[in-house]
Amino acid sequence: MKKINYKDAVKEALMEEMDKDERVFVIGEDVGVYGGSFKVTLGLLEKYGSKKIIDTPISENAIIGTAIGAAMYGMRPVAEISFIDFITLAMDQIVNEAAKIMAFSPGLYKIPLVIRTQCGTGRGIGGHHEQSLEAWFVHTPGLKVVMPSTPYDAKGLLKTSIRDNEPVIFIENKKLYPVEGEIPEEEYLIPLGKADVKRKGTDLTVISTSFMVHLSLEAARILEESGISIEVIDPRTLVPFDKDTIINSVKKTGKVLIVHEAVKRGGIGGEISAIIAEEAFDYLKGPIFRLAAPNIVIPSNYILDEYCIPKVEDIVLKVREILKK
Amino acid sequence: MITNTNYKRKEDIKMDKDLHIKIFKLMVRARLFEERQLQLYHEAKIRGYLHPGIGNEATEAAIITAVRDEDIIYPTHRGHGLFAMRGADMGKVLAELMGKSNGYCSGQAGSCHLAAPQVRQVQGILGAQIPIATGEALAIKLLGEIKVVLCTFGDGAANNGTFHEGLNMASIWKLPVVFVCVNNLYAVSFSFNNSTSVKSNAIRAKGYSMPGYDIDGSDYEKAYRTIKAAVDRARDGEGPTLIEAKTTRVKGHHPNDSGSYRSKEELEAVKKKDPIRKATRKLLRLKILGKSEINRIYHEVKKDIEEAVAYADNSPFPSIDEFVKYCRQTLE
Repeated sequence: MKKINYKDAVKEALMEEMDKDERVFVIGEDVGVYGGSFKVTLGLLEKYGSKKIIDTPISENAIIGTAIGAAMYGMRPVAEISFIDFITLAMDQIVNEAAKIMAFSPGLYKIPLVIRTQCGTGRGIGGHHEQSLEAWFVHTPGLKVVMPSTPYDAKGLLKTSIRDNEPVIFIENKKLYPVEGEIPEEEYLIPLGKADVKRKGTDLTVISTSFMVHLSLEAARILEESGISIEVIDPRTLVPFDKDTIINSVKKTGKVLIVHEAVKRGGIGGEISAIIAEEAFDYLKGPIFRLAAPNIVIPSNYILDEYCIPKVEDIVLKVREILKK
Repeated sequence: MITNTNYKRKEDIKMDKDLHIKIFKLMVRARLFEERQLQLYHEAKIRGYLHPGIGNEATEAAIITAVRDEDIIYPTHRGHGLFAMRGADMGKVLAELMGKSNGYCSGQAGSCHLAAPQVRQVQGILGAQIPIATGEALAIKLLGEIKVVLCTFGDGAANNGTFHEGLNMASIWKLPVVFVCVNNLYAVSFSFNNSTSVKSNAIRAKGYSMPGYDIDGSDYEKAYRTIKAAVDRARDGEGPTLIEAKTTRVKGHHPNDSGSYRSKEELEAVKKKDPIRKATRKLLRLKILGKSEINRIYHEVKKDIEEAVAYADNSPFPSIDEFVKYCRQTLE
């Protein structure tokens, strides 16, 4: 095992896949000389050259469009949309083309396309650079949605996503890039559609995604001091979604809190809670709760940023409230 | 209109007698195929959307004959002539349009998303194909292969942002792609004069540092020479070209469009620009074809089409069970 941060784990996945398969290439704004907005691809241009690391104009719709075309031709592009907020400009190509071309023409095409992007608050840079928009893609049949929280998951899932023959939206989080974790020295893959129990517990199931997994684990450590045992589950991929791991946990604890960084209204917390209500209702000992961002536009202000997403204290308080402890 | 003098001279493109005949046969094939589709639509055998491309045949036949087998063609939603012309099985195309399970896309694409091995998928979102076609050209260049992508779109799509983003990228990367704007002068009901800031999209080519040509798209010879020169240029690694082929929309936007927004005079003028009429007169005048030979061509194409209709008509509709099975396999 070795210690690595999330940013370098993503980079390792890109490098390993480019080394392995000459059809893999990276395309996006500032991915070359600049090394990407969060320096994930720094140094790759020198190593792989401009045929593998392709800087583009600020043309999000055509970044995805050209990546779709290249994928249809047999390449395996990893297209980067540097901030998920900019993905609105590429929504037509993602929702109407990438997601549908294969389905409309069974067997005629493959679209082995990965769209790497990153979400989340933390820099006080406002609602054009800090949103969490994963629910839009979960709502679109024909797309896979991956949202890893640790370096281990990021690397293993990105490698699998690149090898997948269907379009994958791979959502990182700007607060996760410096987060460190252990990964094996040797190559490994993580299948899409497998949730991970990040911490075992018996009193309550916390289902959280992306950066919120780390806050939930911190909350779990604090609660442990009061004798409260919570299980933390990270779905890791929102499509395909691993219902079984979650339902098995609910069977054990009977209590659920879902935590995500996106706004509460229309967020994936609603979807997950509906799945639990439909498929594990008899095991529930109380209502399913959600802790998410308030339904507001994220202001461009470092101090106010803090109000816009759940914090460790919020999770601790909510769990105590649910358990009445 | 030539905006770049380095352009390979289209006058140098050769056209022998056989090519004239080949193009004419393709045009007749597309015309009769589309007219038959309209008939099937009015009989409610084709349901959903259908956007006839009658009037575009000269440009389409020029495209088909200007490219090589290994080249890639992107169609528009309007007219499925390109499919019939490039050797797609008309029976399987019609079966697809009729929603039958043995259509090229198992009955899931219909007209608006029609695809076949010979021609890429129709996009229901106008202009969406421009960056995608550009991306295939990028892949071809990255792999060091020698092939050309020919991307068609309408005058309506040329006002979409994809046009700007796609042409800019094709230009900066000098990609082997030829853009053909099939301008039938209407975006549904909105006329080209009222919708577009330039008299021809070819003028816009200058903004992307690529050659731009404005041609009469109802003249197959002009269309062929221009498109062939652009395709050859792209194959030689000289980069993209934008061609605007002015055609006519002989019919409405879709089969139930009365076209009330067009004047009688305009519709009369449209008839005069009918590419099949023009081609027939020209070939008779040049004695390349005689009347009886033309009749024979029509007869043969009609026979092919009726066989295709019979095939499609006798084909089964997809079962919902099979569809559900397919969805579970691929989309969940």
